Amino acid sequence: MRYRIDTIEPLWWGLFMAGAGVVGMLLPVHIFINGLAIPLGWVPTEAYGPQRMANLVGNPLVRLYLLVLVSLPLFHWAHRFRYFVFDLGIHVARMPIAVLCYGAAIVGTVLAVITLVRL
Amino acid sequence: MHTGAAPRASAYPWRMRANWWLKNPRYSLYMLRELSAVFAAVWVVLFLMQVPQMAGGPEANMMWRDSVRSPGWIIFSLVSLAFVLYHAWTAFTSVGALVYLRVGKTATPGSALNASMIIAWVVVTLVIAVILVSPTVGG
Repeated sequence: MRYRIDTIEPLWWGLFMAGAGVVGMLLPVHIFINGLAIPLGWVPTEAYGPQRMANLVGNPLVRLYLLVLVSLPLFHWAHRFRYFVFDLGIHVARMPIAVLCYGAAIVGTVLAVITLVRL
Repeated sequence: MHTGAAPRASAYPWRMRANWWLKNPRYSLYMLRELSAVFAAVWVVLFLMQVPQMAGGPEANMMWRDSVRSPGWIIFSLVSLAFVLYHAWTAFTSVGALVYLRVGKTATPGSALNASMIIAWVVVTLVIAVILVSPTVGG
C-alpha cells in the first residue's frame, strides 16, 4: 500500500506541532513537580493529598487539560520518531513504521480518554 | 502534443550514510533533540498511569506517594526534564528566525520574538506551578 503523503501528512504534522508546543510549554513544569519536587518532599503534602487530587480531577476542565497533556506529546513522538528512524538510515517498511507510530499515539489517546473518564 | 514526459520520481534518493549524525556535534545534538520526544512520550504515559492512584482515595494516594519516591522514577524524570528543556529552549530561541512579524511598518526583531516566547514560558510555568503546589487553589 502506498503512503499518501500528500493527503494525510498535514494532519500528522499539525498534531506533531501542537504536541511540540505542549512538550515545550507545559510539560517541563509537570515533570519538575511530579517527577522531582513531590518525590523529594519539596511540595507541602496537603497539595497532593487524596481529597485535593480527587477534587482537581473531578473538574472536567482539568480532565480535558490532562488529555491534552498526555495525547499531544504522543502524536509529537509518533511523527518525530517516524522520521528519526528514517534519519538513522532505515528506509524499509515505511508504511508499517508509520502505522505503528501513529497507531500507538491513537491507542494511547484512547486509553487516556478511558482512564480520565473512569476517574 | 507532448507525450514523452519522464515518470516522476516517487521519492528523493537518499545518499546519506546511516552514521551521518556522528560526523558533526551539531548533527548529534539534532538527533538528541529528536530523541527528546521519546522521553516526553514515555513520561506522559507513566504519569497517566499514576493519575487514578493520585485521586483514588487515601490508600491509593499513599501507594502512589511511595511509588514516586523510587530512584528510578526520579532519575527518569530528571533525564526527561533535561530533554524537554532542551527541546523547549531550542524551539523558543528559533522563533525569531522562523517567524516574520511586522508591527505597522517595522519588523519585530527576532530577539524580541525569542524573548517573548521565553517570557510566556516563564509565566505559564509559574501559573501551573502555583496551582499544583498550593493546597487551597482548585482543591
